[in-house]
Amino acid sequence: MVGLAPEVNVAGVGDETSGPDDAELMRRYCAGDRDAFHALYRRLAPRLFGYLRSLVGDRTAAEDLLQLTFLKLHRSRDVYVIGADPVPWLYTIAHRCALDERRRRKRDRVTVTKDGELPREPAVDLRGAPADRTPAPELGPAAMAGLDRLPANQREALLLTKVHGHSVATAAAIAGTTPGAIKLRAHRAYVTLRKLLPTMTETTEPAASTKEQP
Amino acid sequence: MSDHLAPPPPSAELLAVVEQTRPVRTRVPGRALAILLALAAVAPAYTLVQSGPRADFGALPVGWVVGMAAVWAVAVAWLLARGVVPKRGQVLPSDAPAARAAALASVALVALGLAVTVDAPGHTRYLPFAEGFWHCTQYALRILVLVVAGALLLLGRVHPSGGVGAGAAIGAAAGAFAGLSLHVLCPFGGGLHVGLAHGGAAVLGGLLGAGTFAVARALRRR
Repeated sequence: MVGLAPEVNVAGVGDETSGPDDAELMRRYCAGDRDAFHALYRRLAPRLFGYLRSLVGDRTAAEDLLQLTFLKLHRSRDVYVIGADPVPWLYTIAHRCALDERRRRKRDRVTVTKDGELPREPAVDLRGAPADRTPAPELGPAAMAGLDRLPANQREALLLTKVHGHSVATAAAIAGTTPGAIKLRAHRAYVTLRKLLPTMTETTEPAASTKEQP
Repeated sequence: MSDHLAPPPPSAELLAVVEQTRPVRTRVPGRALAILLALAAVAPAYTLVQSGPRADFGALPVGWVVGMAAVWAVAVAWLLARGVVPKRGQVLPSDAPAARAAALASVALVALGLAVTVDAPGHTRYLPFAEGFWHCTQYALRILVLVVAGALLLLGRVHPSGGVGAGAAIGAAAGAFAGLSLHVLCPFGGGLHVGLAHGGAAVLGGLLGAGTFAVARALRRR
């Protein structure tokens, strides 16, 4: 399948594979260690940022949501259970932040920029792809465009299990649903993408040939 | 990682907040469990001290009394665990399985009460259905309201999604606890009464718990 790598670790920069694990860092953070927060941020922010960008499709919104996620984490330290893996919990917080953002966008009639201007519509090149669409880690342009056309719950299921490498049970906990529902949604997403991607790959490849575009 | 993929550094606001970091007391699920059980026990303990066990208690088959008490107790423990205790290595109990557990257990307890109730002929009393239903439901409500309110205070912030499923499981557990105490205290018999009034307390508790957590979530989102 074009552009989708199963079980990809999208931690990227800042992924520290030696030293204390996430649970130990979280324990220290709850004990008041500010350095542990910074270590957690370096380690987890890339993954969460990739996830949020895939969910909301907008870098600026994803940046804000990332900050909000860690702010909520800070305020919810008393909810943490010592010894537990904080990563699925953090994904759940990020997931809820993204859902709230989507709800807020639906409610807002007009979204303006910080200068009070109406946002410029993203430019569309002749091949039909938005010019400012940047791919998530490990996802090609065709895969990103395909993901955008999936229903939100199918996109989430696919991202959590196949791109961010969570187990079905963990993905279900993050999304607030059952493992059966996650499996079904991810399967449907795959089926849909399989149908979409062959045609989308043709239209998103560089126009090197002399074939005329519709 | 190229720039457009790299996350931003922590914002000034976030750094300012983290700068004030102090140690916090983290959550111990067993503590919430114990508090909720204690809250559930308040009304039954008071009633037991005031009135003693049901009048026909001595005439009922021992095996049935002990067996049904065990069923109620297992239901309480299972539902509370689903609603309060996360799986090993996780921070949160899973919401959807908790909601399923509440629905399953409630239906099972109602069915069990309808099908397996045993009375002591000549000793067990009977009331018209509506009167008996209200008698036991208002008793159960004392337990439900206390436990659900306690759960909201202790656990309302725990779930980023609002914890409606957890609320349902905890409410159903409170209802099952009411059913357990009614098994010992309620002087009225009949399968219909036990099934719908005693077992029905779990249904009512599940609905109350889910509704309360849902309302709290809606208020937080405003």
